[in-house]
Amino acid sequence: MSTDGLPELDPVIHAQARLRVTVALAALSNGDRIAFSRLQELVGMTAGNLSTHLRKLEDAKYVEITKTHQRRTPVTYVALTRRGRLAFEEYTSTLRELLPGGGAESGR
Amino acid sequence: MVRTNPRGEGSEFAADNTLSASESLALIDEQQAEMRRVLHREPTALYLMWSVVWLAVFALAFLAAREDQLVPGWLAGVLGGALIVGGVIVSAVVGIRMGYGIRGESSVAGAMYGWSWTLGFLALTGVNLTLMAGGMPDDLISPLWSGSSMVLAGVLCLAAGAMFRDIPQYVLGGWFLLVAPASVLAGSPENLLVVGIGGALGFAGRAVLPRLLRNLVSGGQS
Repeated sequence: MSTDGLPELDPVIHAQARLRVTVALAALSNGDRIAFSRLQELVGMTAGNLSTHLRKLEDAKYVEITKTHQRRTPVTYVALTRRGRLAFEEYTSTLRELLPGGGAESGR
Repeated sequence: MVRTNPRGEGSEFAADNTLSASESLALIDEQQAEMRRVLHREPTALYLMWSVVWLAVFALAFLAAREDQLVPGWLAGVLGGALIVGGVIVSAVVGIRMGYGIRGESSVAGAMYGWSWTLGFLALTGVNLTLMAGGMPDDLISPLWSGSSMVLAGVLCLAAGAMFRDIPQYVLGGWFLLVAPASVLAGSPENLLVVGIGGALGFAGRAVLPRLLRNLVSGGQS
């Protein structure tokens, strides 16, 4: 399989861990946010690893991180921004362009 | 320093760039399937449970309402009430588990929708009790409750179908709207049997309809 053209893919998203996180966040309805611990469960990553990748996504303004309190316990919520959702859509369409045959049946 | 974990998730681009386009698409599919499994799972078992609970509750009510009273009224009331409370608790636990840790517009919409049931049935109870106090004939009381409750439940299911673009839920609402007048036409106490069987069939249909639709779609594509 040729990987020509892959450097054109958004490097912020094109990393196993960040891609996993972006897909998970994109699966939420628009306007929804998810607790850090639940996201961690869904993507199967360690807290440290997830924090590192979230920071990179946040630096690119793809995710928005909100810190709040629930019954005096601090809770961190994560949401995909509009920009992040658009970047993910663009990323998947570029992927499909790279795979003219196989890409057509995916992502429905 | 390049840090990797057992899944090979490196935090440096050098490790990440080994992901080919097809691997990326496979990862997207896999994670999307996981999200669907956890967040948007069809609660098939829940609908099947409601099908059985519903039938049992109305069968008990019917047996208690018959002239020969095969089941004492108090027993039908206690058992039926316990079954409904149990069903509501199981449904609430499943719903809370699915949405745990997620906040935002959809949970607000979900809570507003949940309250529509409570508010709707409170208003319906108020109207029906007022009619009863105003001298509603005895033989019409049971059909009044079965017919009006099924109309309200049907409309709320139609609303959920429209809100969440859930066709099987919309079909269930439509079915309840057919059961409602049928129960009134059946008269008392057969109306309880109509609601019991109609409701149970509706819930069972709601449980299997998504799978049937999926098979139909995938069959049409192959």
